[in-house]
Amino acid sequence: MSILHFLYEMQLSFDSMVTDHHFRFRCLPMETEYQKVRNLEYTIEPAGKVGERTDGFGNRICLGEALMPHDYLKLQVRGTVETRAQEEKAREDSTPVDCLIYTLSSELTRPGEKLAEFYEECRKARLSGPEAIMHRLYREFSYVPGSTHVGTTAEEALAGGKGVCQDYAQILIALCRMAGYPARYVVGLLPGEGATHAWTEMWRDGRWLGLDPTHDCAADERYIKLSHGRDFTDCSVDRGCFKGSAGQRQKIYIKVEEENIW
Amino acid sequence: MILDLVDHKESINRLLARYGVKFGIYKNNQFHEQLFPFDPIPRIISREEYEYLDRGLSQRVLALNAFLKDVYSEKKIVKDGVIPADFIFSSKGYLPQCEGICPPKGIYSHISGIDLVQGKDGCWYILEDNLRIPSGASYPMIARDLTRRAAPEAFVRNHVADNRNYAVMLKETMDYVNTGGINVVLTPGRYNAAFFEHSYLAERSGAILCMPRDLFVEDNKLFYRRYEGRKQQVGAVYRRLSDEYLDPLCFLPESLIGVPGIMDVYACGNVAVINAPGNGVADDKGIYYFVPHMIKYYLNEEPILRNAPTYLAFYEKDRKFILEYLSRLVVKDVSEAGGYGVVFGSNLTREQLKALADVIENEPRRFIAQEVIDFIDLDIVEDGGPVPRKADLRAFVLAGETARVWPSGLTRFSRNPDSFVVNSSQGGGFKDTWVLSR
Repeated sequence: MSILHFLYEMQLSFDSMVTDHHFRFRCLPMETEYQKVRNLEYTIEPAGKVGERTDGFGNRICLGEALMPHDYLKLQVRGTVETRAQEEKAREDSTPVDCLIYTLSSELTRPGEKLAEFYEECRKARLSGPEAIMHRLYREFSYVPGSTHVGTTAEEALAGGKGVCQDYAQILIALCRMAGYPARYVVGLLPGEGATHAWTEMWRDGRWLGLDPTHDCAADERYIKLSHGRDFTDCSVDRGCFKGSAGQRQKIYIKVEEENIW
Repeated sequence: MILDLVDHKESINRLLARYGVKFGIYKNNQFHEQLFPFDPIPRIISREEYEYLDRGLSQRVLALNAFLKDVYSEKKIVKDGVIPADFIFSSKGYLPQCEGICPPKGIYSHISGIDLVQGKDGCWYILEDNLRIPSGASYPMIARDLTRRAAPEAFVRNHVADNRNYAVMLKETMDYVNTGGINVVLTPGRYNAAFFEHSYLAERSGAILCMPRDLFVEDNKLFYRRYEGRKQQVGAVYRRLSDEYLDPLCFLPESLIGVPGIMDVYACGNVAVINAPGNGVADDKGIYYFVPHMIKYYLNEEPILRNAPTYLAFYEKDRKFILEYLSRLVVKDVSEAGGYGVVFGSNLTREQLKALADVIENEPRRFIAQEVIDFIDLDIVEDGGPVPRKADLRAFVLAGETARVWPSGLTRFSRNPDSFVVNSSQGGGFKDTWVLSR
């Protein structure tokens, strides 16, 4: 078991006033089998009443608007999450109907020639299961920040041979789906300071199993899960729109600390 | 008496043009407006026939509504193996963003436009269901208004059910699901193909016609901004723009004609959206095949109205049949609408048939094939005399506390004598549809 304290801060600054700003944030930790939210508080300024709801994938969204002229929007989320490692033991093997949507390719994970080729090589090498595919991906793909952008597809990233956690996750999702496993995209946080992280969950033996292809390991109790979906698009941490022709800058600060409970 | 109407063909068409009864078409990225030609000879449906259609269509719409509710919640129909999961999850109309949302009063398809044809054997066949934003009710409404003025005698002698009650039915439909506030008709604007209809229906039903910029979300409620700046809460939106443009925060982020945040307001039960987003999964041409199964599954009834005989390329047995008899079937691409993506095997050369067969084999999920129904011709007036043309009927079913079929409908005909395709986007015309009141 592990206790994790986290802080998520995001500030949008505009170089002139904007109005009618509507925002949706998906950055509140989910309640899952392996993760309990102990406490959670957040503030958004300047904004009126902020609401909350759960989207179609089960993600928590906080929603609201700042209609009056403003030149910044600041979000701060603070909380404590209790996590435990995922079970290794297999369960009854059935695929519930809700998993089926994760068997189909999505915009950012649609396989092309490169993915087909990579998958074929895995098959020829008789790689058994997603872990082995992940190891191979980890060896052949390079982590190079800035080499891709949020709209880069798994196919494009693989063709380029380099990318960031989003690309690792989406490539592994595409490969898992090709191998017949339902697979989904996960956004979350890891201990330390930095940015959000992304990894993969695949359905096997009656449960979701987290795999982090960027670090070539299983997602253990150090991982805080915020949201999941078919690919990056379903999990965008913030989405918003406003009126005004202003340039904008975004600053994000994230800190996660593990409490020493022994 | 109907001859009186024939004499007024030109004047009624002139008036329709003046009222702006036009159809907009985008061709090569250019907007063209064209008149929607009106033919004065009505389609006449007897009382008994209407009652039969009313039963059959209401049954169909109840089953489709039950299906939509199931798809976006428990998915029992998939678990029970009645419809393969693939047909639901890979349908373009299936929107995961709508998972778990239960619309006010549990109604998804408030206004359904069901297209049917009558075969030469007298039997009616369903051609397709339109559960997103079926248009066309306004055309017979205004045509009736004008023809009653032009030839009142025709309506004195014949006992025709008044179809101008559509506005009342529409208002009742909106009021029934209204969550508190005004009713509005949301139009993307005057460059939309059916702008005439948007403004006409708003005016007639007493709803406010608004553009996307007139609506805004605050505190998870939807408001209408009045001309003097005050705001009024909206309880029901009859939106005439498609799902993907409805909310840039939920669907296409580049949409400039949506209302940011409206999906969350709707998901929280604070406004009714008519029709519900996500309905496309039920009027998909692939799902059409399964509608008779749905009627049995959800209502435990035998379907009253028939589908046209349909084969699903997805099933191997059907695929073999399709490939063997391709030249006599009509093949439809399930992802297309408005008469696009429809191919008649009989019009193809041998090479084209081969090419089509290859496409079907490669992407079986994409296609259905149907027997070509030899449907009846209706007379239209051309150069002073009657000539027969293919015609279909779009019946409008409004669902509130119960489902009811509007005693009229849009009869569309093909102006090309050799064509079976009657869609207005393909240049067809329309007729009034008379349901006799006794």
